[in-house]
Order: sequence, then structure tokens, then C-alpha cells
Amino acid sequence: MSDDRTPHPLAHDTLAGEFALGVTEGEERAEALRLMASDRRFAEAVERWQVRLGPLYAGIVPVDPPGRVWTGVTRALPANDVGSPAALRAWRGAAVGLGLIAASLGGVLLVRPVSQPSPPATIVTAPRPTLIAQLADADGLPLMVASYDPDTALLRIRTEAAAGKGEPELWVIGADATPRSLGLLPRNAVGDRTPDPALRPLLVAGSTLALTLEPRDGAPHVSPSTAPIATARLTLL
Amino acid sequence: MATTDTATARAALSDDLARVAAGDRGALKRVYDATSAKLFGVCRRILPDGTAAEDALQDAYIKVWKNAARFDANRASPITWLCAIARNTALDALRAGGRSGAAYDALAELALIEPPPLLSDDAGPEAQSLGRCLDQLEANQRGVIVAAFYEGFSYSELATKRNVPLGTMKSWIRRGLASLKGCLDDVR
Repeated sequence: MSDDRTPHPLAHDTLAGEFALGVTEGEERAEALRLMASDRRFAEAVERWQVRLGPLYAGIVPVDPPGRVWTGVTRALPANDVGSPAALRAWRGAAVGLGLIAASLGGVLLVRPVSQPSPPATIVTAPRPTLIAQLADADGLPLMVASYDPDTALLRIRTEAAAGKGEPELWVIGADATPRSLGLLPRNAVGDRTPDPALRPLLVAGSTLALTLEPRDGAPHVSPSTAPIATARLTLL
Repeated sequence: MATTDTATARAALSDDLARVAAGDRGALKRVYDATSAKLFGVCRRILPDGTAAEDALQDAYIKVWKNAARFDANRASPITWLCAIARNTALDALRAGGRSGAAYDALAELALIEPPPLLSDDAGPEAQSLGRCLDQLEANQRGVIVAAFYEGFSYSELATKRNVPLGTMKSWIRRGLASLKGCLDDVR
């Protein structure tokens, strides 16, 4: 993350407070939203403000929502579409289009939101390209799609059902051929995580991502206990 | 609510959020059952008209499902984390959709909204600190900060309602927030 485009810390925290409170509008709000997505220190400052103001929620009177809200939530959760014939055919096809990858990752990470203003002229580093990996098992069934943005260090992972006992654990294997854990993954979910800074240099094109099933206890583990159920190389999008 | 009940409820909610992060839909239902009335209350204050609050509530729990792995029990209480998601979702909808004329007119007289009694006997330490620090603000600063928090007012709405220049309103809020931060961070 280049420091030369970070605003003065005091102005930074003031904007974070205003954004957390909710008073920002127009260009200032757009700037705050951009920083939320790209600047982890800003996001953390916003979170500290949310914690400071949090006790005010005690003043909110609870109101029971209508039942259809929960129905809507369950319908909108990522679908269990691993078994659907159309999805399997699409995955087994040799060419997996960009659209399918974008769709499986919720279409969010791979393109910058249209509403963001163009970056200020003071940015001198070019954005680094996103890396992706698709892991499928021996039968070609999709197990995991991962996308990594080196600029934000955001790793977005979508996992499908993985048959077998244990919890899916994701490993990165770099040039030294040593698997290092990126942590346990939920099944059937889309999730974001920011890998440990020590691991980020390994998340480059050509490194291998591997999935194993591990016991929950002791995660993240030092090394895998079994052979991987799937591997794939990180490639440029 | 006794302190032990609150601590137990907080731990259970944190545990359930960790399970949501692992893809447990039953845990999401438990989180919903425990918190949806509070979060709906948050959404309704900001989106009082029509069904916008319901849409925001639904979007909020989908965000909880997708982002539960980001919840860190060491950094925030689970209910604060959840309420913030609901409020931000409602604010996004409000800013995108605009405040309806009826809602705006209904708030024609922006009274100084006093915060809830945060200094009650069973209020936790964070609430007591915030209560004390809010009391130390000038009445103008306190009133607009609290109004902005509950009703989702923007700077220009607040300036119009209080009939002061935008710069004055920004100054009230920035100074008020800076005082709160100084006071709260000292207490820690």
C-alpha cells in the first residue's frame, strides 16, 4: 500500500468519524467509500468510531420485522447449485468464461464499482492485476474459486460443498514448495479475508493454492495432514 | 438486563457469528432471531416510509452472511457490529433514494434530541463513558451528533434544519467528534 496517497492522519480520522456518524454526502462520501474499499487503516479508523458511538444503539426501540424479510434472506443466500446439471456442464467446459467467474464471486471484486470517482492524480503506482484460481476435484466438480487483489490484499473465496470428513483448509505453495496455511474455509459460502502480511508475497502468479480437509482443532495448521483434494495455480485474470 | 445475561448473550452471539463465517445457516437464523428487531428498529429510524426499511434489513443480513469472517470479537461487540451494518445499509439506501418529502417535513422542527440514559445502573462501562463524554459537549454539538446518528441526517440537511451555514454545522460536528474522541480515548 503506497503511503504517498494517504491523506494526513488527522484529516483521515475526521473523515472516518464523519462517515461512521453518517453525515458525509456527495464527493466526501464517495471518497470515504473508496477509502473503505482500498485503505485498511481508514476502514479500521471507521470501525473505531463505530465502537465509540455503539452504545447509542441502546436508544433504538426494537421493532419486529415482517416474516417475509427472513424468507428473502434465505432466498438470497448463495445457492447450493453444485449439483445442478447446467452448473456442472459450465464448469467442466474447457473454457470458463470471465462472466462465470464474476458471477460465482458475486461480480463484486473483479471490477471497480462504477460510482467511484477516478483516483487523484497523485497516485504513482499502477494497480496490480487481480489473480484467480479455480480448484476442482478429480471429477472436475468445482470446489473453490479464489480471487486475490494484491493492491488491497483482499482474498475473496467462494467454496462449494466438499465431501469428506473435516474442515476445508486453504494452503499457498510458493517457490520453496512449502505449503503455508491461509486458514479454514466455510463450505458453501463467499467470504473475504486479508492474508497475513508474511504470506502476501507468496500470492503471485504461478504459486499454487491447495485445499485439504483437516480437523478443526489447531487451525491454522503448520502443515497439511493429508494430500490435497484439489490444487490450482494462481493466474492473472 | 443483568450483566451476566448480557455477557452470556454477547458470547453466544459472537460464537454464532463465527459459525456463520463457517457457512452455518442455522447460526445465521439464530443471529437473526436474536437481533432482527433491534436492526429493524435501526433501519426504520432512517427509512420510516414504505418497505424500504425491510429491504435494507434483508440486505443487511445478507451482508452479515457474506462478511461474518470479518467480525473480530476483540475489536467490537457483536451487536454494535451488526447494528452498524444495518445502519450503513439503510444510509446507503437513503442517500441513493433521497429522503421523501413527507419524512422531511415531519421533522420540520429539529429539537435537540437527547441521547438515551446511558448512565443507568446496568449500562456497561462503554455506555457510561460515552454518556459522560456526551455530557461534556456543548448542547449544539451533542444535539446534532445524536440526531445524525439516529435519523441519518447529512451535513446539508442538518444545516438547513438548524438554519446555520454548512461550515458552521461541519464545525459543530467535527469539534464534537474530536472532543468525544479525546474524552473516550482518555477514559481508556
